[in-house]
Amino acid sequence: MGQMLSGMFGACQLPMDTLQRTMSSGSVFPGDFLQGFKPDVEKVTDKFLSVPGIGYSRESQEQVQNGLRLLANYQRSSHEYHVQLGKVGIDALDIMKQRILEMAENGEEINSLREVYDLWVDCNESAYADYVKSEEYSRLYGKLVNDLMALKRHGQGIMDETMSALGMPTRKGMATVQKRQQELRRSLIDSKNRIETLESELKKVEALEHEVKAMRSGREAGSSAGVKTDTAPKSAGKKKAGKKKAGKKKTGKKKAGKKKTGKKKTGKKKAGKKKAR
Amino acid sequence: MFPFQMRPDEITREINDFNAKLSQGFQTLSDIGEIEVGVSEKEPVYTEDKLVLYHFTPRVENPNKIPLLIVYALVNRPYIADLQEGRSMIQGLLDSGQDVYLIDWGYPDAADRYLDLNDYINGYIDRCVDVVRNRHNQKTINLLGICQGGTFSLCYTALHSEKIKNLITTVTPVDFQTKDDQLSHLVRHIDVDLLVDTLGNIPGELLNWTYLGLKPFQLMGQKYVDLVDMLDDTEKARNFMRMEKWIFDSPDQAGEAFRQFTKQFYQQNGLVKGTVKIGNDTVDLMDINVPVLNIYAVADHLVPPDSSKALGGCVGTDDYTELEFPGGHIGIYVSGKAQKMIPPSVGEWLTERS
Repeated sequence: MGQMLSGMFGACQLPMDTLQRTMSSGSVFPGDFLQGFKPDVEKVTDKFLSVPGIGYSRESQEQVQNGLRLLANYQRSSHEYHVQLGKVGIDALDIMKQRILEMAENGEEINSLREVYDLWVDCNESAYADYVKSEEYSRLYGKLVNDLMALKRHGQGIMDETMSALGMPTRKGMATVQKRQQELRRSLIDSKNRIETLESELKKVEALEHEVKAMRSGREAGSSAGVKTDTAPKSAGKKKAGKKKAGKKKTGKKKAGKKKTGKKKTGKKKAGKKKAR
Repeated sequence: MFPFQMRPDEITREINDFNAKLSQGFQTLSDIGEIEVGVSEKEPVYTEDKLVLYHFTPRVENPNKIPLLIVYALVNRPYIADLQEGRSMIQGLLDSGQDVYLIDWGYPDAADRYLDLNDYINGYIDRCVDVVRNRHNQKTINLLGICQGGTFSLCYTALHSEKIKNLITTVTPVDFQTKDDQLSHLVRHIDVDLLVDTLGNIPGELLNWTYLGLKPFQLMGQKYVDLVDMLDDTEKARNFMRMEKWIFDSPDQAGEAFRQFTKQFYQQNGLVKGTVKIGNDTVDLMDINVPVLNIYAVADHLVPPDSSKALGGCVGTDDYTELEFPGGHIGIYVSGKAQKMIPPSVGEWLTERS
């Protein structure tokens, strides 16, 4: 029975093995081809790129050398990344093989191409998710992005120099302008907020001033009403109001009222003195 | 038993059926017309730079007197919360009696490159909060954050708790380094300074690729094979296209804000460590003393549940509630299940506390 199952599983494994071999040979340089040669190429390239620049164009020589070094770094990362993803493809086939074997054991069937496709997607996602979660992938992905950005930034520098030589706006210059503009906007918003705060404070002060004025005019009306009661009252309503206020504020303020009504100039002088004190 | 039970004639029929559906699908797609998004009636009440603050027309006679401000993420567009009739969280919130406002960040361009988190949180959000407070003559308002907008809402509430009455976070990352956080894992070894210095604003396209790269075989292949099966139904196809439009409608990210967010939140995990700096202020989640409702999705592949649930141990409030949604990161806004569960729960929770 075991032998029979093994035979059946063997049949299931057959197309998987073929696929695996195909994937393996297609993913990288097949076998050991170029393996011995590659380090030498890198060594020669590194040596060439480390030759110091000389003469009038030494800066540009070093810039080109640096660019080539960055390009080589990126190519290495990219190559490594794709090799690893190729391995994920192989792992996915392993998982798929395993699942098919399990299906065979459990007597499950695959009845359509769509089911095969769905299974393939599932297995690939599973293998991919396992790899993506690893620290190795995180580092590799980071290195790939960092190497690409370093290369791109180097290219931007060269482009900026060219644009500058042609009298055109540069990326660097634009970045400076944008940064200053944003700083100005922040400062503008800050000033606007301060002005708004000051305006609201000012409104409070104005309201207080109005209150003080109203109190003063009330006081004056009260005191003049007090004086005028003996001479010529304007209206009964005002009189009453004057009396009420005078009544509430009692003697001390009455005196002040009298002072003001009696001699305006002296009253102001006194007020001025009071403020000074 | 050999599992592959397919006869050649069945395989041929399946291929022919697929081709027929595909042909029919082209017809459906060519007739589908404009894909419209956003259903609830709204009006802009405040604009600043590219930001627009919208007020949605209330759908009940006497809405909650404490208005609700929704802070969306900088990633993708906020119309996912109001996608279509019957698939709109905002509609649900309006029906539950809330008076809803929404911040739409717009599409940053090169001139916005130097906008940082302080500009967003202590600037834009704070001014929007003030606008809403003044319009309703209220000292405090309710705040609801979506995804990254939830993280912003947490920072804002920690720094300005005197302006917030209740806080709701939905699928919001708090602990950015949980074991199953794939995004965090991806950015851990990236030199963010070099990335931002090189690219300026981070292109939306790059973010799209990053998200697709989380499940490449499903999102770049299987999804479209599934589409073929639904192309004979115009309404289903329209729903698919609506989601498709939203998924790839990705604004660029202002460079400085991206730099600070990725470094401080993802790489340093500063929100739970209490080291995040917004302008001159340090964000301490213990300063959040207002009631908090934290909603997370169990099948969320972008913000793992554990990342959101970490909030429970970090906030200073005694009134902390968690709500678990049995679905994914997007389903929480658009699925039928979500419409029945999320807005009514939020409405009820707010009504109890307003």
